[in-house]
Amino acid sequence: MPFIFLIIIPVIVAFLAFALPTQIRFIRRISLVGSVLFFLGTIGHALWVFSFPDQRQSIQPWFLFDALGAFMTLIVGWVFMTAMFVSHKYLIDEEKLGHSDTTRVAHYYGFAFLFALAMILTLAADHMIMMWVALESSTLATTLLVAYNGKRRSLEAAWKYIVLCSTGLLVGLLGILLFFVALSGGSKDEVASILQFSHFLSLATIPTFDVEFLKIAFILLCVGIGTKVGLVPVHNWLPDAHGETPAPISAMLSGVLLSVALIVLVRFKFIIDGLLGDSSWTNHFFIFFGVLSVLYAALMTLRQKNYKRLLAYSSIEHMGIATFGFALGPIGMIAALLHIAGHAILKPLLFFASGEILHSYHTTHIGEIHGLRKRMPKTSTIFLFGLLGLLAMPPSVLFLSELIILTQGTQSALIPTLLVGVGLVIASYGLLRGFFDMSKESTHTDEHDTGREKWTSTHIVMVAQMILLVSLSGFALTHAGQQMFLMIINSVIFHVV
Amino acid sequence: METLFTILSCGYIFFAMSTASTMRFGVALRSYILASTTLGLLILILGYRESSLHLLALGLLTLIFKVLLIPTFMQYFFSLSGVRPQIGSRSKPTLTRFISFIIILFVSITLVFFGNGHFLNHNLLITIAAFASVGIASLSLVFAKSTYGQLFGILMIENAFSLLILALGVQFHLSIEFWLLCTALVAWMIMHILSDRIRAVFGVETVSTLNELSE
Repeated sequence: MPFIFLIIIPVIVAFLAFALPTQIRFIRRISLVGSVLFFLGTIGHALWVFSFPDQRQSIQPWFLFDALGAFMTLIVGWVFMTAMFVSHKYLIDEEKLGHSDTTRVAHYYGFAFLFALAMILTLAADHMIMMWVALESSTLATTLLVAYNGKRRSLEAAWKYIVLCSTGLLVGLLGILLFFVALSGGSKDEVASILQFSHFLSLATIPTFDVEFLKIAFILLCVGIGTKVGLVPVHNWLPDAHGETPAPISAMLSGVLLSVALIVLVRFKFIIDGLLGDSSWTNHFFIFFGVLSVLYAALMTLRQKNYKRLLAYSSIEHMGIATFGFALGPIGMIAALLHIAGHAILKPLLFFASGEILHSYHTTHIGEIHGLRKRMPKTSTIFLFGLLGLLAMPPSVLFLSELIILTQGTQSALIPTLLVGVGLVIASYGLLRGFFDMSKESTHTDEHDTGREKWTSTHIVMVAQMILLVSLSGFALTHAGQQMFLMIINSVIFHVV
Repeated sequence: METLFTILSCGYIFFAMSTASTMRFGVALRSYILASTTLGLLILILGYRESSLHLLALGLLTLIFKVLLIPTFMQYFFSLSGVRPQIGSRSKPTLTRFISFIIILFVSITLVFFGNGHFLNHNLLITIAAFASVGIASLSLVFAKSTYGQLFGILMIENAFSLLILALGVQFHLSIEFWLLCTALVAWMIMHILSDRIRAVFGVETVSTLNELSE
């Protein structure tokens, strides 16, 4: 079973990183090899899950391997591998600038692998409490990565991150416990399986439950896990953490962590929809949080002076779009999954580019950056293409996902869809304005501006991401692609057999 | 046995209030240890009454983690750095206690009259203690002036959830309980390391100094 490797590899590499902090060359090599093996493991795991007739397999009470989890695992594997490759150069540059030392670099790799492990366990957990522990572990594994620079702002961001996310997740835990209360009805019969996702996938009959308690539980879950997703108004940690974290870690937080938390919330939505026999009640919440996130984040992009925070608000906006998509029936759900995949490829690309810009200009302030296209032609060109992809320009897969979401939305929720459309236009303006402000020529000539930028491993990774993005668009339009996404949705929707 | 439950539940709320309303680190730590001891004893007694090996093991684990490991590490790390942190609170102890009483009253009335019978099958007093201590711990988190005050707030909320899980009769596999306890321990360690770095960089550990990141 390939899943074993997804647990063993991060554990071994993390152990070595913490145990041998002085052997930094070895740690760097083993991290690169480990990340490649990890990605190969996710491919093997996905193939293994899709080989089952109903695309799911559970090892009770521990794991539930379904197509949705396998698909997300694949995304985690890809983003993690690219982030580790970019980290290699990023950390060497940091050391050259005197911002880092060998022990911190070793701990960086150790925590990064633990973070990947936490993500995999969150996606594969069958027991809701185990899922919660894994999600909270992801916060713990990344807190010191957010504080990596050791500067005032990064320490502040890390503190806000751990306090707000942990508190939010505790609200989510209360939601899980009330979910239990709603279904157990005060009795202790069959309580053991109520908190297992697999319990709800093949029920003979709909169990008796308290509707009000179930609804309160869902609201708490939306608020609690929504904190981790970065949904407005419980998003406060996100711009700070993304803005102050090393670029490869920002990429993982944005590309993977937010999406994984959203998938957890969606799993609860499917179960509650099934129990209520109707999805309209939960859809209202998803539409509300989705539209609010898109609009607020779009407006905030207009006033950002820091390009990493700009990208962070863009992440909130995209999580809002995906959340909105999940409220629009099966076709909307497929579009939302496509959107998550596209965002997970593109946003890391932009964060990797932001890391290159930071090391060249030594600032994250848009106003202090001039002549980006002249000084960093390769980075800025890939950054621009990535940005256009993020703004849903064809052939980006986000064009397809947003087109489907907006088309579906006009049929079932016209006004919210119009608001999302307005938000998308505002965010596009905000993001492009940020890029073109950085590209403006300076009034005085800087000696660095005339230097030629060399191809680096980061550029190669970014180009690979662009190729994957376009390939994903093509794959989504094929019959096989559509079948795969249908299988993913079918594997997690509540069934009464 | 029921009398013992009543005494321990009341004791738990009392120690939770004491942790929330103090300004001094030493008192907060002692109150946290006593609240955790009460929690561990509650689980052990329930395990004994129901002849549940699972609960007995969980009670022991709770005592090991929350009464021995976390406080010992706390003492050890502070003796290493030679620093005695301040808790601090935006509200005076009297006001905190007053608000805590209101929370307890509110939770009691809500559960007795609007609980729809869901909580009455379990020990009602433990449930009241659990929900009330979630409120009191949140209060302490909101009012905390220093990073260590917030740290205690989160530890107390985690304790309150353990009590809630017990009150609702939810039983997980023991290894999941073990992971939950490990998460609390690791969370404490990470927050402690971060607090230490904040004090080293900012000179103080008050939350109000963490205000550079804003829109």
